[in-house]
Amino acid sequence: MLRPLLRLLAPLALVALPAILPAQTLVIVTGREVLSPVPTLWKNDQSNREISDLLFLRLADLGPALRTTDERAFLPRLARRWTRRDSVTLAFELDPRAHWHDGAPVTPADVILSYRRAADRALSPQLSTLLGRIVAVEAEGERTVVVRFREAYAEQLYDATYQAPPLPAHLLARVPPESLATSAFVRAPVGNGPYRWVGRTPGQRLELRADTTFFLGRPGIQRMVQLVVPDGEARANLLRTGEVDAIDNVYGLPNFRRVERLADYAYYPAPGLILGFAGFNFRDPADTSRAHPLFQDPLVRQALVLALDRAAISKASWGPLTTTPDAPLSAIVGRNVASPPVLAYDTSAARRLLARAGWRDTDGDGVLDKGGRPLRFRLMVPSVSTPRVEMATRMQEAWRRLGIAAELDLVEPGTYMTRRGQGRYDLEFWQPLQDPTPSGLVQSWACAGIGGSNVGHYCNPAVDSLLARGSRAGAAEATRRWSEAVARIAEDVPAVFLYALVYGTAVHRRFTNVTIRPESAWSTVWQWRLRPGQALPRDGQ
Amino acid sequence: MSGWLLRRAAQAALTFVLAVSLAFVVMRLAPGDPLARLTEDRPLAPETLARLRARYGLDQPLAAQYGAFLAGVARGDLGTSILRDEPVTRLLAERLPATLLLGGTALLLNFTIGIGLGTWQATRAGGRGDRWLTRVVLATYAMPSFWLGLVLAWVFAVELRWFPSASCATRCWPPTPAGPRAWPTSRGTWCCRPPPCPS
Repeated sequence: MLRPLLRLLAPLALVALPAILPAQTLVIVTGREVLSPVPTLWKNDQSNREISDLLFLRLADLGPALRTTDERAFLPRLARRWTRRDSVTLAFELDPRAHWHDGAPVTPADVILSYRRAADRALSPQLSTLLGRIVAVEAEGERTVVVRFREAYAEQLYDATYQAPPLPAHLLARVPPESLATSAFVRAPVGNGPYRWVGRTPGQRLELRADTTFFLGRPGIQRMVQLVVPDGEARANLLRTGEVDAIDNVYGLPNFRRVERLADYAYYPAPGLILGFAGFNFRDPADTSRAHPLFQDPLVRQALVLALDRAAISKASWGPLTTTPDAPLSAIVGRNVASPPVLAYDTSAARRLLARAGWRDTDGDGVLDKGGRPLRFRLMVPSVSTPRVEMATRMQEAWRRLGIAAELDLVEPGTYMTRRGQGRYDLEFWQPLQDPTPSGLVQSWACAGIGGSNVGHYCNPAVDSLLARGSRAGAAEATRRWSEAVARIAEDVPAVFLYALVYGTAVHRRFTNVTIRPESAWSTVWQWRLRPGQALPRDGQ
Repeated sequence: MSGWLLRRAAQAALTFVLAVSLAFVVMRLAPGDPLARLTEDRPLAPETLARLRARYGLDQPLAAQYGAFLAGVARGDLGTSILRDEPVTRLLAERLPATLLLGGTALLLNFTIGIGLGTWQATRAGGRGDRWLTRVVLATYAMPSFWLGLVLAWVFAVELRWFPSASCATRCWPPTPAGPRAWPTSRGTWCCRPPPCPS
């Protein structure tokens, strides 16, 4: 039956003729659309960051090891060199060749504008917290920017360069700061990086073209097209048919093992900044002035963690390379900070802890209870996140076997964020994009973060003290203090830590000199090259 | 006749107003803050959220919001998408051609193949071909559409490669250098907007 049908439709294939294109092209597919790839406008989104990093350079980039405290490992970008004038002052000399895509030179005014936006609490509450120790950013002559800090600490260079890449002051000086997010600039950003903005078809694709005058070297790939395909099966098909050259995370695809076997693609595992956990609410969702009736007890929290084979649960959804931390450590941060001992999967130990805490099934309904209260809670999960819904279902089943009744609260993202912000949940399945430094932990795991990113109200002054001491210390001591802080957080079990993503980026073998930066997969695309004789019709021959 | 026409017009107008009102009410009854999605990638200060609330009219009483919504609909203005910060009408217009193409093609295939096969079967009613085709058609009809869709995508996009496996596209004809709407692939050039292709 299939053959006649195919014969019937065969004439449609006549139009399938190759075309000739002028440029070497890299086609990438992703599941999430890039909406605002402009520095200071995004914070927690990997897709925005990856495109932003192609358009906008920083003064300096983290070295390949991503050690935020190692000043010698930073790579010059817009600044061709920097000098330390004293323990609280850094001076950056801008590269005179650096220019914006409209031809204007990069000036200290650009650096100052971006810093001011980031430091404005009303515009960027999270960035302003992170950059709180910068007291001034000033121009000195036409090419020098001086950054002054409140105190001496190991991450000064990181703070001065990472969070707020410069924005073009000559284009944005007249745009009211609060209007940048809705300005025409966001729809057609003018950057200074290796690629310039060409355009976007909403919901479908965006296109960048190489800046042939890029001052650090002419990009080898002249055109980059990013296709937006939310459906995982369709993304996998694009790889199978060779319609795309690269994908950001093979392990995010359904049946990723079949995709992994495609011989045309090389796979680059890279630790990521994404951390996944189910965070306990330490406050009663019905009355946030009271402690949570279940989760105030550390024995219950520990038992809930011990009851889960977290490694199996996360690998089933995120692939074999994904790691399971016991503390808020993404795979990148976990490389530079010692991880605490593992709370291993042990259902017997979980049962013992619950019994010790007084939980027994007194009425024989299969659910543990204590003082007439069942061990029942709701796990809030964003319904649009298939991996999280899958994992939550497995967690629910594992808990059920121990007499713990977890109800899944699948809600759409707007509702999720609202209830998260208001503390109206028991347990929430969150997946933040971490900063590459442990000093960023203050946002979600320090008492000071309550009212901001610390929605669960976890608070341990000892952790705060260790994080603060780490942030003020020199490199070696900082690592020690951060490790101690992370160990304390792990002991407190403020969340069921599930996964630290390790990406499997796939790139077609027709490209060479491929490197994948863990924190921003495509930021080195300008250094990639097409292998001789490997051009396709889409590249132009 | 004119009375009948007037009655039908009044019914249509009432239905339209009810549908529009229902859309407004259902959106307002849905749990969650419309601005909450914005804070997912970019935490916002309370004063910024208040400013955005005012910008989108969300700080107004419900009746005022409803009035503004109805007035906008009357002018063909469906408001601004909070997530994308673009007029909703523009977003719809951008997607409409693909929707029409998809729906139109499905209808066209449905009618031509359906009528053709139906006619063929009618002329051979009760015959072997009719019986077999009835079985095949019933089996296809009984298949879950999501599964059938995956199978068809696999056959026509992955195996035969007649069509792109994702996105709205068609082969460029005649072959042309890539224009702003062109989508290069390993097998040639797909155009995001079906004919006419960029020239």
